[in-house]
Amino acid sequence: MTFFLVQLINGLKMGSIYALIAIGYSFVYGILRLINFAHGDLLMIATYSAWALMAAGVPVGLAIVIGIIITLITSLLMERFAYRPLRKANVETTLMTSLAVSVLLQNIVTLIFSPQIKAFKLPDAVTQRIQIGSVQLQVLDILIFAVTIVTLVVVSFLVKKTKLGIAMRACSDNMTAAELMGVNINHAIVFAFVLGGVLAGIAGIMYSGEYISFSPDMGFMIGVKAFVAAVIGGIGSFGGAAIGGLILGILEMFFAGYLPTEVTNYRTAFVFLVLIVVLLIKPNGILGVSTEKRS
Amino acid sequence: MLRVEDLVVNYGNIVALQGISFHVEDGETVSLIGANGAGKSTTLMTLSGIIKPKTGTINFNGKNIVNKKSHQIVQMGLIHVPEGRQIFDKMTIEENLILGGFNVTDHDALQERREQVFRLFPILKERIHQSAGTLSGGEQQMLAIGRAIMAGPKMLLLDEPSLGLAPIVVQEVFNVIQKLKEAGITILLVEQNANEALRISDRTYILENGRVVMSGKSSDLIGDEQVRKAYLGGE
Amino acid sequence: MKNKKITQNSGFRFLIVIAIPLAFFIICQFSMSAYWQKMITLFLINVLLCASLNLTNGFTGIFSMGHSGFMAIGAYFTTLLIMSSADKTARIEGIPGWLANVHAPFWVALLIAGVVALGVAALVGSLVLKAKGDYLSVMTLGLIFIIKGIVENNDSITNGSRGLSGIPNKLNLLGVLVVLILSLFILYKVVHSSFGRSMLAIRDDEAAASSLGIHAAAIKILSFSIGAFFGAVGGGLWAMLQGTISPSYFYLNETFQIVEMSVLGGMYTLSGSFYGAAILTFLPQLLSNLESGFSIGPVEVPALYGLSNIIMSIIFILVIMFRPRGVSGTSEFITDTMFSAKTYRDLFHRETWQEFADIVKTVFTKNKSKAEVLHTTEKKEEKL
Repeated sequence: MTFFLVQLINGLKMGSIYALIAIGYSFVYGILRLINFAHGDLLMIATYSAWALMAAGVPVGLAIVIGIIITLITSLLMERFAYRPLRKANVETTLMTSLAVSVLLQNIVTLIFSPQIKAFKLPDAVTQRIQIGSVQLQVLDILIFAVTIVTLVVVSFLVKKTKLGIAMRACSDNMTAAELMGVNINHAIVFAFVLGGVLAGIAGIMYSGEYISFSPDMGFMIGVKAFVAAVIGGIGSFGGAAIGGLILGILEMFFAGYLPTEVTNYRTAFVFLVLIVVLLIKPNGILGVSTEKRS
Repeated sequence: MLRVEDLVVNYGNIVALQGISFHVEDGETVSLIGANGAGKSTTLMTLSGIIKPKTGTINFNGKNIVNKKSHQIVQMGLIHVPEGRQIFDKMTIEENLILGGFNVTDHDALQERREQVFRLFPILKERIHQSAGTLSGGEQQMLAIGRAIMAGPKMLLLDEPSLGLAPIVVQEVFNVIQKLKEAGITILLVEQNANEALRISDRTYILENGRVVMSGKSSDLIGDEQVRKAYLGGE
Repeated sequence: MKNKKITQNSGFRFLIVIAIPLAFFIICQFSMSAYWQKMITLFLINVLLCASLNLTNGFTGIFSMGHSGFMAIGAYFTTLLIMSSADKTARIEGIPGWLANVHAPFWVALLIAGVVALGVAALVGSLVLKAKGDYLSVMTLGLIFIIKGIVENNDSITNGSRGLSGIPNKLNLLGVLVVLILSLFILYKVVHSSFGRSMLAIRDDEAAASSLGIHAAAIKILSFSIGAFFGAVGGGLWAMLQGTISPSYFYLNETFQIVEMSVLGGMYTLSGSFYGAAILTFLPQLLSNLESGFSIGPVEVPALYGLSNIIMSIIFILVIMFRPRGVSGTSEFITDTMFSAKTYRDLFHRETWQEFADIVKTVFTKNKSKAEVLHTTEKKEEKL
């Protein structure tokens, strides 16, 4: 029973991280139909920024906040210089560009920091273990859950109740109509990248705090998996992306925990298998909203 | 209120509008009729700033709006109800209406217009929290018009409101347009359904291949032989 | 500035595209340094890899990102079939007997590798190709991870992440050239067949194509599979050239590099693969030589030499923004010259050569220095 609980908790943890990333992905995809491969790399930017600041003596809390801000700025720069000029381009072009941006980011970081794997050490107060019932948790784990919940609530509010949030959703739904309503499309898009950047930044710190080792290529894979999660949950919807993330996290952990080791090295392959299966059954994802219009 | 002169619009190499001119006075209802591809929707999209014309002037309430962005044009009170409704079908009716009044800052006016919309279309009030995608075609058209009303239009551009709707529903829609007319809103109506368009409008322009080929009082045109043969399917 | 007429002249085209390069390759084979031989051979292999990707990406409109997976299949199957039994037993711990003893001549190995890749592509394709554009691309990406996983987790067959070295090189530069020409010929024929036209129809408008009776799904799968076949052949050739392979050589960076080649050269044409391969084989070398001052051999530049990759990525983004059709655009100058019968028939007509001589004369007499410039640009073009 304990083993099951441990796997579940691990799954929820990873799932939370996936969820935050997936939501950011789906905001940008929803509005621009762009799979931003560089989104995953934002986690890496957040980690490196915070790490460098901590190494320079900046207190942890501040380093993390600044790290997230730097991630946010990177996200905005991406939008402004790589994606905005290509708004009218076709699918292949935007896909390739986002791939190029991802490679670019990874290489810039490699150049500055070297490709070696580093360690992201959070203070002991955060990494110490405490006993809750039959399981042992790190304080960090609790923090991850708490931050995720708070973040989800805040983002949900921003997206449903604020003008920018409504504008962003309108643009995702029907860009032409949104334009006719007098919505400023650029503002809405920027908002999507801002939210995405912040979410990825938070997720990045969580991930590195939990798994400690990081390197320039850490982000891409996670990003792709989070995108898969978003698709599974239904990429049009914010709720769907979140649920997709959680499901994927849990599935991955159970896959790793319960199946023999020969099979578990296929973790990543498994993720894609799940994607293929889900899309075969429900082409718009589990919670996906059909793109068919009623006339 | 609206004065268009020598408007030329290109779609790539095709000249969609070959230099059309027309005007709409305050309080008038003017219709633009013609066959498919004549350039009617293109005209409206150019007026609302979605398409940029090659040459020509568009004068709205004394200002040239050719170089203005869509959201600026909306703020000036020129509201476009697009072809095919284009509602936000993943959002609720309420959210659609909120989006209609997106740039309006006067909360009282917004409240008033909301009431007006519910009076005109009680069914929208009933279904206010439902997703707009679940509405029928006719209801979606009501929503699209209601959305436009939220913006407090000085002039409405209605693009093919009867498109794809059953005859009974078309009647309802035109009843609404009549009410809007009576409320004093200036209307430019684009329609393939020439009958209804001629009946409800004060003046009409007939567009063919991007040119105005005929214009005049609607009541005159209804009786015109040529018009009857070409557009009203009668003798 | 090229005179339009001269590029239509078959004599000129024959010289530029066939005669001069062929002479160059032969000279290279027999009298250039080992380094340059390796580089030119790599260039030829890259042309094949790029052309195979163009078939699926540019011609059929499936934006596949899993191509290095097929390369991996090609590389590993070829390697395991051409390596000697002794070598295999020594290098791969726990290798099963049948695998150690199986052996085939290189051309059979390449064929088998290609067929396996084709089969995998057909299988995967039938599952995955129903998805739309962007989802599809993400799914093809999955192929890379799956194959890498398989390679890394079957140590007794592939030697896992340790990789395999000591791969015998059965083909010299000219041998690779022959394989390339053969493969390109087949690809050319495919593209210029009714099958090829169907591919284009699907790319441009799948719904319309279907309504015309074109069986979109089957064609997409077939095109994907053919691309995989030649990708695997390219992978096998590459394995022989490098002498060493490992799963990390067929991962994200490599995928991106092939895509880069495809896009920069012009993914909508077969000829584009020449330009793309040229840029991506030689430019990174140039850039990294400039920055680190020593040559690293023909191994694909890893991310360690970040600066040249950064420059390449920026170039890539700029090309996508300003010339998305790549260097070749829509022009099939190179492959048309190579494979259309007209080029060769015209050689036997006196008029072709007379016309050629005339044009050259007028160019020379018009401006002597200008002709000199033309001469050198012709030589450069045939290298690229």
